[in-house]
Amino acid sequence: MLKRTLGERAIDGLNIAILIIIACLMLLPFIHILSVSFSSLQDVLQKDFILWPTNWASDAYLAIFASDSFIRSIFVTIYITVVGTAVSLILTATMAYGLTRKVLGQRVILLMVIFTILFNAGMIPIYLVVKETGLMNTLWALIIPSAISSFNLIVIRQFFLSIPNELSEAALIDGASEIRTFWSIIIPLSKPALATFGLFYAVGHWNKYFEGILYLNDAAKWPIQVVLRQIVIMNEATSTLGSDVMAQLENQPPPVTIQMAAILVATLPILLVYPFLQKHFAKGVMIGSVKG
Amino acid sequence: MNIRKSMMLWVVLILMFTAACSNSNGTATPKEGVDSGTNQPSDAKKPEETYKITGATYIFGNPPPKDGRGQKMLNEKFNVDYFAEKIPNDNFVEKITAMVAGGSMPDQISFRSTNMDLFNRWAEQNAFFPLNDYIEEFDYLKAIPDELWLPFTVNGKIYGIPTWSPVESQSFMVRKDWLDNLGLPVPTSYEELKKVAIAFTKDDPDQNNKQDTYGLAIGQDINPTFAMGPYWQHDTWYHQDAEGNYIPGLISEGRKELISFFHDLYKEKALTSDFAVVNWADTNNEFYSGKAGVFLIAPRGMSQDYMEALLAIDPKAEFVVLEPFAAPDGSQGFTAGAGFSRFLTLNAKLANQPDKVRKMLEIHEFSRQYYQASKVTPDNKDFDWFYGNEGVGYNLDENNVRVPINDPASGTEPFLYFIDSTAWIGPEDDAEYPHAYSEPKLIDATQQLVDINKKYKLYYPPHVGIISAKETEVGAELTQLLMNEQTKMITGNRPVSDWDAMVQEYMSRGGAKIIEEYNAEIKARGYTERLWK
Repeated sequence: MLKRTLGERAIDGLNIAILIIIACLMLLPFIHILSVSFSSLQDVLQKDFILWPTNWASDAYLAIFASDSFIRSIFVTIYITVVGTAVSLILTATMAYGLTRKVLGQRVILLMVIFTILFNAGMIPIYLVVKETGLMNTLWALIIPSAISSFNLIVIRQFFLSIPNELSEAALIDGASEIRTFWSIIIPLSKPALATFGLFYAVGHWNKYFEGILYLNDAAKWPIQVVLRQIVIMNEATSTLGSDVMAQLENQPPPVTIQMAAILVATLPILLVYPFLQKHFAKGVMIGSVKG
Repeated sequence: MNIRKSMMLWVVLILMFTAACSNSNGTATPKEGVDSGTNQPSDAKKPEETYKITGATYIFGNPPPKDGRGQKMLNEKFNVDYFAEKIPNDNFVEKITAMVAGGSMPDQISFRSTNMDLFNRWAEQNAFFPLNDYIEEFDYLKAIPDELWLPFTVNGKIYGIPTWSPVESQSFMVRKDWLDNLGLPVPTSYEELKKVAIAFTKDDPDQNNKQDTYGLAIGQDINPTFAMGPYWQHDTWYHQDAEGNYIPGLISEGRKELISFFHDLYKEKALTSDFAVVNWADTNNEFYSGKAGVFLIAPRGMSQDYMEALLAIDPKAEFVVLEPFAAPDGSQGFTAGAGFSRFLTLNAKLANQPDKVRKMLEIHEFSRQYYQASKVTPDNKDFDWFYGNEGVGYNLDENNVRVPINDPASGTEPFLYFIDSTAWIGPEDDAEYPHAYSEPKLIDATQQLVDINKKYKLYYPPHVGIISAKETEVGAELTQLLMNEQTKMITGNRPVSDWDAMVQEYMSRGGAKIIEEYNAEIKARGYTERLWK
């Protein structure tokens, strides 16, 4: 190894220092949220910025975990995320694989998929479909309408196309059916892609918000994002109209400490998924970037 | 190849189109009751029919689950299958639009006062049930004063039932302990308020030898207003132009005076320095952290949590509520509140079910009973039932104030499940605002505000409930424009002398039309002289 000059090492050191500072800056908001959630309201009001709680208080967490709706909604969201991601992955992967085969109407179906990327049906037509298919007020209304993302489907299809055709031909010669080929050859080779898109889907399902409001009329089924928003967001939009000050006052959200605790509890689970998928992730995001 | 591709695209397009068309045909004949998916009881043989009553309204915070104890109690008591869906406030308009457009308009909708344009649009399309014939039948409807029916009357038909909200005005509270420390009197004019605000900034009112305090807590969109009477208030119609037409407060002479008052304070750092970007929650924090010395107080809805936090920071804090200032035109008093907050409409399809309408109104009447806190006891059966029975749903504290036992999300109390559970507080009733709190200093400040409201007449503005087509179209944009320009004037980025140019811009971009449309309606209502009572 070449011996590096002092200057080079100094530059490296500087780079590392700057990058560490930037990385720490990224952490600041999270630490702030954590600290506020563990502080007393009095401390939060008195200080301009809290980096670390001076007096540890867990009142905010006690308040959150005492609330039925919050706990209930976390379980709802976990359910939607787990089931939804599984459904999404199965449907996306099987459809993408089907679309790599030369079958009748394959191009038409592909065109229709692309069509939905360009033209969205809009809120009311989708509402009607959900209503007429009897999904209204069931958790499936949050899973099925968004089960397949057209964009993800096309990228995964592209990934499948990059797997040499010879592999499936060899499987065919060995007597494997299409399903067996898909399951034993294609899926094991596509783990990075599936992990990546699984994560995309999981985050998407975890963040389900508007669908929850639109399709569910029982608050017991609301996902965490709806409940969280009702806790955190104050009605800012009407403040310009001024005359609504009374409504604004009457609907004061809970103190900021509880808001921060709620944000943390609602974000942490999905954040914890990332490290486990990290190793696949780096490979996965480059899918389709270079075609060989 | 290209031809094949474009052919295929056409086929797809046509497919989509026909699908869309058949879809909309399907909605022309909406099927009822498909949407809710509840188990509909089929006991039509009973002497009294068990009506299925659907409803939708908005909610701040989180509602109880559908199958709570309170819901069962409600259904049993009234022999109905009642459900009022509570939609998060921020997305209320989107969802209710989807429901109505999707052919599942509920039997009753309780709108927010800010949804007047939606209400008017649907009322014009005859989506609501006219209530004119039922008003004489129900005492609670008879008790509603005529002026409150006005906003809900479209082409002579009454489509909405207003829900009570206070006419009492808000005011502003000042740190009395700071005034005393500096030997200043309670301000009675903007000149004096300016002196107080500057003294709060420069003369160390909390005597901690630090320059860490200032005057007025104010946030983005120049909120709160610090209007000490309708003369200065931006969201009311008080001033008149040369032809005698009423004009919005936002472009009035009084507002101009107020903006230059803010500008003077801004120069002295006597109001929140970065107010243009401070949201409402942070504006509250400025006052309740003991930094600012003047802030809003309203007859109800003050946050006791925040007040307690302030008193923990500064136990010596005292508050005095400001009386309205005498305006240059000789008037003195505050503006009355609109008198309604939400309002209930019924579905036009109920026209052939008068008994169901009566049932719904009966339930509505029940849920609007007023139980005066200082007088009511658990012996009052309706009260006890409404709040889920003593010991199960609530307890009474030493001041006879009801304290809920459970989180609303548990759904223990029936009142949580009504579409509208705001009591109607008539003119002869005492609303007992201070009873909402247990913190003595907050009770005292609220009592001061109530007394001030009794002492002065209230101004009843002519514009309440009027909808102007032009305003629906450009009103929000113009309001934002004026707010932005006035914010610039406060910070000195634009001179206050530009006021007339700003008003001119407002006028030319649609303001003139808005004023014209409002005044046509004001004249039609017969409102000429300003009404104080």
